[in-house]
Amino acid sequence: MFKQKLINAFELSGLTWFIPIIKLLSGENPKEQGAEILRMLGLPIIALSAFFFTWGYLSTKIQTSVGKLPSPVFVWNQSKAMIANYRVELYKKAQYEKFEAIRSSIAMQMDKNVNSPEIQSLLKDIDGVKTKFSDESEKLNEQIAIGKEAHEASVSAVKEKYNKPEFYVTSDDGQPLKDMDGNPQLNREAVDEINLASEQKYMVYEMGIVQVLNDFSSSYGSLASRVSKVQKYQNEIDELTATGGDEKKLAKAEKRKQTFLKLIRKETAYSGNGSIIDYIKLSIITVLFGFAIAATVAIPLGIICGLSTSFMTAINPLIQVFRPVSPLAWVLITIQIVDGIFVGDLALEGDVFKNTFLHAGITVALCSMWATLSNTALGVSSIDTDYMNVAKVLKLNWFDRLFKIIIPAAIPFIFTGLRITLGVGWMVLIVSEMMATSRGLGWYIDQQYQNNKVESLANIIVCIFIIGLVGACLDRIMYTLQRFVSFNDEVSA
Amino acid sequence: MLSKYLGATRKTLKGIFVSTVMLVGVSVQAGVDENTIPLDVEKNNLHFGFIKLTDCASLVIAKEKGFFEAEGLNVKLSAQKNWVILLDNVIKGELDGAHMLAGQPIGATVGVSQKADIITAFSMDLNGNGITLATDIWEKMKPNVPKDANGKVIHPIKSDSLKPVIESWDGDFPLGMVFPVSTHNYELRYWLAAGGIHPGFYTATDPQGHTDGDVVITPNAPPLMPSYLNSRALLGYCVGEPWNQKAVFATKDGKQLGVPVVTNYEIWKNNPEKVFGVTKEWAEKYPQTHLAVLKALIRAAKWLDASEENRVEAVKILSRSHYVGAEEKVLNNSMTGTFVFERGDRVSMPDFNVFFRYKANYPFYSDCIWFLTQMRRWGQLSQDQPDSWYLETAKKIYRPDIYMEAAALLIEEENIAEEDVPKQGFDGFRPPTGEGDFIDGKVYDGKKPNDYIGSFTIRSK
Amino acid sequence: MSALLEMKNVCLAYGEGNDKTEVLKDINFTINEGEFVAIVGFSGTGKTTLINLMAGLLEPTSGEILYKGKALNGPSSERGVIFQNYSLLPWLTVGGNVNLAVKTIFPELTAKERRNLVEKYVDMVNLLPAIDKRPKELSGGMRQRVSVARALSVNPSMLLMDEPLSALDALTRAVLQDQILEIWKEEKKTVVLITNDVDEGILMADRIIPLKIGPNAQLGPNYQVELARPRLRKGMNSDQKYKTLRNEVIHYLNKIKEQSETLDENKMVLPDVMPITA
Repeated sequence: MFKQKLINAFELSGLTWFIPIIKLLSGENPKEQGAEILRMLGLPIIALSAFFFTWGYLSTKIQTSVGKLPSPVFVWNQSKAMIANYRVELYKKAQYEKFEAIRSSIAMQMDKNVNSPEIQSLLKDIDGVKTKFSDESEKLNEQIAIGKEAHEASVSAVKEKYNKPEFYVTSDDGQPLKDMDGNPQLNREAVDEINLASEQKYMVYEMGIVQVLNDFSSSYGSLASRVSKVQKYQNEIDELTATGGDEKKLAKAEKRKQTFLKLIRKETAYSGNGSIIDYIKLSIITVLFGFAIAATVAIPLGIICGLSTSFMTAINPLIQVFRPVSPLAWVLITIQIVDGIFVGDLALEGDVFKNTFLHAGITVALCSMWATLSNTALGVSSIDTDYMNVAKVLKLNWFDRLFKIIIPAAIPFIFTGLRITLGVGWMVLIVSEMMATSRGLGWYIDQQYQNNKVESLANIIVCIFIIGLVGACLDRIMYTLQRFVSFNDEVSA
Repeated sequence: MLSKYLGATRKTLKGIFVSTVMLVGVSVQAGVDENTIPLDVEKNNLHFGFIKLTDCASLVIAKEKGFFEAEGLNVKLSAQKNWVILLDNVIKGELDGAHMLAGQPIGATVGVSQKADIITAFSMDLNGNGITLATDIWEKMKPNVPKDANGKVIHPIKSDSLKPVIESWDGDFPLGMVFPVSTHNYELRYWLAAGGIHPGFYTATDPQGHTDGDVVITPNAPPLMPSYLNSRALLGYCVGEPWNQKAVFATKDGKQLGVPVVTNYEIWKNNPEKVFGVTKEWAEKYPQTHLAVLKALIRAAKWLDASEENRVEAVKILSRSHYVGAEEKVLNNSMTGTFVFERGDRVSMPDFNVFFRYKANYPFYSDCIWFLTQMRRWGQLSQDQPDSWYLETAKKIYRPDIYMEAAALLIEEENIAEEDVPKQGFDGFRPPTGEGDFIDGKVYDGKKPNDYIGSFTIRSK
Repeated sequence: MSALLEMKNVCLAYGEGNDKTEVLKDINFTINEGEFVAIVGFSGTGKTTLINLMAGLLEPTSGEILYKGKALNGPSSERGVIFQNYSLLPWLTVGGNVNLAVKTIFPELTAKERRNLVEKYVDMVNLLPAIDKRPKELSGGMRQRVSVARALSVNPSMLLMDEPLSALDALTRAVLQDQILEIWKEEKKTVVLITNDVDEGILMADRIIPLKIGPNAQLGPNYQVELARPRLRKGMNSDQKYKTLRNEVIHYLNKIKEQSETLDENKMVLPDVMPITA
């Protein structure tokens, strides 16, 4: 029973290649299922291997302006480095929260009494944290040293391998050429191999953590020094008031004290560098936002178009003109309009909701809504006369006719449109992020492109796979929904 | 493989550890804020923009080395896609301030590009640009270049050796620069015109600036220029580092992709390059914050020029993916004071990137006026103006008064020395340039802009 | 017995001017309360148009239709329609389809009453086990039974059936015929059955009326079926009365078919279904 449910679920979502595995696990005709698995999994695996093999081969041949095309292995290592960076960001965020907690409790205590024993104990805590940090970073540095040694050894092995006369570049008269450091100039192949080896990432996580530890160690340091400054000026003030000292000096000390106090009180916003996981999340949120706009605009408009041929005739020219417009063009206009509306105090701020979020989201909506609009219009206008006859015989009022007959009848069409919309939207999103935002996958790709090195090329390739996978997942979800709402079984996979 | 290293004794590991402190980058600098007296800032969370170029270093260093934090500022730095978007974001308030082309605040204020009141109280660096030509173009012009007894070319290379190449060139001769009001545009035009090549004028009907030109100069995103050189969409470009060195290190057809022929240091010795710009409105709303930012930037700039080691460390920081992101070896060249023209032609240029020395951060009125004269020269400003107009305009944009206020605070804290900045009461004008300061030997006196404009043969009337 | 529905000189034409096509012409028809009338004819003769007119889904171009002596004004729940292709709403379950009708016609009912009513009619067509299934999970016969249940659920005094069984296989057809007859008997409905099957008409109806071939289709003569009920399929083939009537009707149909072919040589409107002659 459970097995059948599982099979049905996979069938609904179109992930049919899981079915033979389940059947096999439940002991159903092993020979037949085995053959089925071989066919459904084996063939794609063969195709994938062929793809990676071709890529691997081409990567040894294709020259880009930044070096050799990154090989699958290089790209894989790069994706691990990206994940390591993500973990570092998580760690950094956690440290930031701890720091803010300590800062705000110090600030609270300072407001009561700048010399209280609580503050002394908090300062002690800070010292403890700093010691812990330096211990941790020493340990990590030892690991890094090992990793670095290994890395350098592998680089020098590669250098050794290529530092041979057959890899030297010679001038036309057969003389070996010198490079800018006076060493024999190596040919392209050798240079690329050495570059690839030396650009291979190592110990990314450990180095990132050491960086974070150093940063926060210095943040704690300045916090502690500010506290002691406040205490110092407080003592000065106390002394001056006790001795009835110079008014001017007193005022100056008071002012200084207040300045440092304010600094301790001020909340600092988290300013991370972002990581690939953040960008993926943000991109998905943005595309869903754009998709939601597209759906809320296109479905009602489509229904009106389907109901009224006059309305359809009226807006059809607009649809035909706007539909083929590239996101690159839309995004520029969207930026100006959104910034024209949300300007100054109205400007959106926050982690997700920013003007740039609207730029990308609205561009997605503008480019992707057309499929939903025309499909909805088609679904509504091509409604089966039988359904309408039922409505007439039952004398349904306009409202019921719309919501009980017309819209339900058009739902398969609407969902077909929505699936196309989401697919187009995801493609458009990457482009509009490149143009409009300073976050998200598209932006990240653009930044990497600007970095202009082999490593960044590898990062771009990782992103391409991520974009493809996310796009495929979104499509699967829409496909499943589409299957779920369709009354007939024909849904193209 | 690794087990071999795991077997190393603790002693050797310690030794390695010492060397890795540099590798990891930031060693915590004790007491950056020890003798800092923070200001009562109006806004402590700030967001600045930059373009992926080495001359954003002061901003990055001020953040990474804790100079911002010492002032109680929590700064986020975001790379911007291009100069237009960067300036747009500053105007819209998305960014509090940004690393800008020196010409941008000026262009914005006089309305040559986006119109907005942008001011600057901090010049970020001197020099740092170069002009790179495709290798085959270089090979064609090389025979015309004067050489010394050893057959080595004599720098600076002037554009008169390029002139015959362009004259015999079939079709357009596309050259790239960064932005219509960027230093690069003016420097490229200046260099070309100094050798008799007409770079083209801007006119009311030709905002592209191609009128009468022997070459076609277009704006391009700096990081993409080496790629354009590779695809031959460009035959040469004027750009900041690391994108000239990138052409040296990249290979095309077994040769280096491009050859930097001249640096802007050779075109105009110690010319201003980037500034830190904010809107006038922002500066008026957050005066204390502005001062605090300037204090941190000045200290960062001083740190950058303090030692060779600092530059090496700066290179490591800048090469991080979210800053400049290029490979260390590419950044190294310009940041550590060497410049490779051709493979085998490595020249020491200690002043190629100046961040602090020569009072580099002071916003000289005369620098601002030089840009205005070039805007007039190439037709971006179509009207002749009296000398007084130039000074008044410069006073609106360049704010040495704010800079001096910040500097005074730093002197009081003993974070910089009195002789690092001009004296109080300085009029803001550099002395007239010396004989060899400009590649064409012209003398520039900021107090007499019209005389200077009038001295050029190639200029928009 | 009084006339429940009357059609007087009813014409129906589509289009205007030269494009005008008259589908039905001079239709005169009366059906009494409780009567079961079958209208037989070839496909494409305008049978569906005729039933749509009776239902009020179409308005006649000329002539008048009276229902209980009053001019017909649009569709009404008093005349339940069973469409040829079931016309079930595929997004609703069996119960949902019936419920939609019940809810619309009897809005004053409570949810519980409504549910009871729905179950009653679904049970009447023996589909209670399938009440939560969707139409696509049902066979053709089951779907048609849902359609019947839906039509009955609003308690109409008249049932208009448009070739309800033509798409079904012979066995299912027979079962459904019996079921319809049973319901007719028990619920005392007036029924108009459109069919292309003369046997079906004779088996079920009190009266058979052939429809001539369109355009300008008219009704033929009335044939009273004076066979005792219940009529058993098994014995009927040997029943002399049945044979005579069947031959008469088929003969008439063949005649009008020949006529239409000779009348209009250019326009070969061949029926795509042959009358069942076996």
